[in-house]
Amino acid sequence: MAVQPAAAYPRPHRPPRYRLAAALGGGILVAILAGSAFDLLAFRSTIALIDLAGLLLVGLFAFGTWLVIRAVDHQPEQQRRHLTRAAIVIGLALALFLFAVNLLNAELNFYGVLLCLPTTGFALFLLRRVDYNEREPWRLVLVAAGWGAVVATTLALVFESLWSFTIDAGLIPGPGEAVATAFNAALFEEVPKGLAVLLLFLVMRDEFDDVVDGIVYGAAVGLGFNFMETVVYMSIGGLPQWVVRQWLGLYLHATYTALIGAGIGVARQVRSRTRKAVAIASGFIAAIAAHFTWDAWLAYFPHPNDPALFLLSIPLQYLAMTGPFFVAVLVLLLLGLRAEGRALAAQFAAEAALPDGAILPEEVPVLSSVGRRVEARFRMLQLRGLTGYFWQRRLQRAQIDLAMERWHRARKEIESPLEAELKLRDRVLAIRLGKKPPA
Amino acid sequence: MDLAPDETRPAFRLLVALGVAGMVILAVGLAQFVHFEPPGQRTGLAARITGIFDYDVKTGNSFGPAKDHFRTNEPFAAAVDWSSLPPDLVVAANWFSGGFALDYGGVGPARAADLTEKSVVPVNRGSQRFPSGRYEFVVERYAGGRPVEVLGRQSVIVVGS
Repeated sequence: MAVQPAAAYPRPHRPPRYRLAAALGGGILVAILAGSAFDLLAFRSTIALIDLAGLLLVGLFAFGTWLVIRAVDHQPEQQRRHLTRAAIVIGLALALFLFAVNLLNAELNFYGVLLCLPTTGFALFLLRRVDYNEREPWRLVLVAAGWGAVVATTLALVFESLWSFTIDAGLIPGPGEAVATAFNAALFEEVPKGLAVLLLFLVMRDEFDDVVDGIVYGAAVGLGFNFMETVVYMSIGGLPQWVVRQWLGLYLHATYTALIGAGIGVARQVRSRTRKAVAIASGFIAAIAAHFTWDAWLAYFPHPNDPALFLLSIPLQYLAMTGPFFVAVLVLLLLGLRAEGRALAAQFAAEAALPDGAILPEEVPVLSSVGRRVEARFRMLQLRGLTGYFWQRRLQRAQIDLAMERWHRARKEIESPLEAELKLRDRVLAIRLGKKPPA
Repeated sequence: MDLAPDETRPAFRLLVALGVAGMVILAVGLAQFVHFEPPGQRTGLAARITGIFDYDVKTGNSFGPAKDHFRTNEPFAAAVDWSSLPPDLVVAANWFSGGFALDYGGVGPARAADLTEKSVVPVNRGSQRFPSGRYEFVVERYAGGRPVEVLGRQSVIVVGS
């Protein structure tokens, strides 16, 4: 066997000087990091903050790229997992970048961000609880709100500015221009917000069941948008803007985008393509019109100069212009919850009638009532403590997931194979027996 | 399992009704827009706005270089070269602020030839300070007693003193 002579440079593409260059590069990076951190703490320097944010972004992009390389070159057998992670990391980097751009537009109003986080966060918490049969996962609710806060606001800013420089520049000051401004805001804010709900509908069909889910996701996008808009307006108008936009007007954007979500949610469940298109278009048109009426109000009823009348005019505007649309969203929500509740009750009973069903006949009335479900959990809390409580909750959720799957299958609106339903049934049985449920 | 196929019908119907109501609202808005911005009014004419300057309230003259920022205690005025327009054209020049066209003073409507003595158009705030914000100076062509076309536009920002 021939022996290979030792090479002069065992790694010809990586000569030793590269190591020195890498050490120097690393040193520069550490120096920028340390210097920027010091400047930020000592002088509250904006430049230092931008430096640090830039480094974070470069780091995230580098990490994402490394994951892609692993997926295609190093570990192709785990390609799907690596690519998913890469998409999340790069998506996070882009979201951070857009957040930074929005924050710069808000003159780095960190004070506003801190004030708006609890109000918006609490609203999201309440919103998620509205869907009491099958709560949407936090990760998707937060993705929806994040889209509203950074992507939709950026798109709106770009296209509203474009409209101002082209269309508005040639308009006569007065009602015509005011109406055009209202069209501008309604169109270029609602469409980017609605796109988020549409994307969730297309990509996460398993978590998008009906009109209730559409309303939850839509409202979450609206709350995110309202969050960033408040931060921007607070950089100009201060604390009064927080009161107006995070208390009185917290539901405005949520209402508009909930209408879009309702349209997409209804489209999820109607059969014909025409009806699907009509439902989605109706949601978008209703949302754009609702937003338009809000902005157009100011054209016809400008805020009065008298402080008392001014204070009176604001709640009146909220009630008159957005109140009816808010009520419409509530009615759509109640209709959705009622249809969902009836369908689930029917599916619980059907599953209990099966010889190998995952629901016991005595569980049907409990599962069909939200109050009795909670009661059953607390009974388990008394009997077996927290472990019992969480076991009962997990069991109920798995049973509801199974009934939901059965409902979609009965309506012929499902793409997943029958094995998915069998797996859900196995999951319920495993939880009931106290075993680790299958993934 | 025999499930009613139309359990989403009430929501669908309500949504379609909202969509129709939305279309009516947007159509009314569009009609308003067309009424106040009548199509086919473009003449291609442009008024030459020389600039926006500091303004001496006592003498009624502008002074200094053209600026795009003023303080709330600095009166200012726009200067228009009316000879840049056909003499018989009926025009007006007005100041607006507050985002929704609150009238802050101006000249016209009159024939461009009749406005040559009024080339300096101040913001009319009397002795009051100017609220901070964006002020817009607009030269408009009139027809049938109302503005139908914008011939020139310039804006300034007023900041706190």
